[in-house]
Amino acid sequence: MSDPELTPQQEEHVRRLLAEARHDEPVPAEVVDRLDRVLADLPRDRPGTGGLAPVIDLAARRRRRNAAALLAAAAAVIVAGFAIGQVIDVGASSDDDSAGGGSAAAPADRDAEKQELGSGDDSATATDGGADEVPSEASGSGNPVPLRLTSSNLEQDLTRQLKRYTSSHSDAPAAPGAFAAVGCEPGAAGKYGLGELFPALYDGEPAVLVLRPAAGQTQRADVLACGTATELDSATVPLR
Amino acid sequence: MIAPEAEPTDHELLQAHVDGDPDAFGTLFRRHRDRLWAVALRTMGNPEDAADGLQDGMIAAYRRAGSFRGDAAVTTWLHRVVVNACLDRIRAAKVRRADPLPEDLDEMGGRGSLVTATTEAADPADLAVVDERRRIVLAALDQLPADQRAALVLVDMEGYPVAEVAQMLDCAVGTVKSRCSRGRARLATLLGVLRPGGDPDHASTGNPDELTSVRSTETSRAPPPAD
Repeated sequence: MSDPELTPQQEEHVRRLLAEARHDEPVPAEVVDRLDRVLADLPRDRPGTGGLAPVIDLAARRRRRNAAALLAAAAAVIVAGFAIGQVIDVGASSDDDSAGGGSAAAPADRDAEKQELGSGDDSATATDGGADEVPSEASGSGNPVPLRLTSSNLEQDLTRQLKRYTSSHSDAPAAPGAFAAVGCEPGAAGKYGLGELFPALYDGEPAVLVLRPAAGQTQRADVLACGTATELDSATVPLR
Repeated sequence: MIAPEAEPTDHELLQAHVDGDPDAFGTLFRRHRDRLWAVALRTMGNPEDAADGLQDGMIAAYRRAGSFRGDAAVTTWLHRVVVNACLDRIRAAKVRRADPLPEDLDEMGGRGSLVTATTEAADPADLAVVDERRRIVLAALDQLPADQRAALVLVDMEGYPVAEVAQMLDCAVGTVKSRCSRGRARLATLLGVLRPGGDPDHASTGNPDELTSVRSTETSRAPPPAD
């Protein structure tokens, strides 16, 4: 049904009715309390820059993560070296030169260990290239690369990156491994509500992007905190 | 006598917030809170959802203050953020909700004018009529598409200039005019303004049986909060 044409008097009548229905009372006290509480929590929520874009030392975080990986690698090498040493010892037990052979093998192991540590270091240096860099393990594992979103430019970030996501990943929601790549566990199914889940870095912080079911030609995109599913941000984006 | 220190402007407060002043945003938001609440309430249709929408908008404004370019008034920008937050909630709720649409007011509109605008209502009995009329108007407003409703709330209820509303809704001036025009036409139909006796000088029917079928505006529209 097409809308009727209103006469100026009819239009004025409707406008007057609307003006009369204007709400002109202050915010209810309970809503004021709630808003004040939320506002009071916001600086703690995003510390460091007066509550705006938080400065997160991603490089330090990666260094810590790499140090842990390094320790694990070193432990593995030591265990492997010990095991190899045992095998060599068993094989050379009848030989008087076993001690010499063992001592010759040890520096080789140490060299190998050193080399591994070195290569670990190199990769650590490579990932430290920039604060916004996508963790290399995400791209290397075949999992979707996390979306990199910023609070200041969320709509544009989503519009641009989701297009690429569609073309390179065939609409497939991210595999669990992709969440681990940004240091985020997706948690129990349903925790984030209905929609497609994508791993994301929101202002550098691990997050989950949930694309809600379509509403006409658009759909809502909610950025939720990892684990707690607290809503960090949201935007309406064109339908994928 | 020492002149009292001038109140900081909205721009100054927002900039202070961006620069790290922990109290600036609260001061700024409180300054415009009542009007933002009115817009949220009329856009969402009930206090519960309005509180959610206003809260969403407040958080978004708090976090995105750095993206404010300064090419509009701060209050325009705040309205924009809050209205967008409300519209986002309405869209999300529409997707998630499988309820049938609220009862159509077309039928009621066909029975004659439901409401008649008057300028004064000092008598308590008249005030009751005004309250009832307001309720009917709000219920009819609730039937409109969210975009039209937001435009009417800002232009006809809050009295903002169309150009400023265009900035708030991030659309062209012509789009705001079109949304308002279509919204008013739809309201005129819903409220029976087009019917004989629907002219401003005609007395309201005041029939309570007709009014009971209007959907309550107290019904929560938004989805339950996430755990």
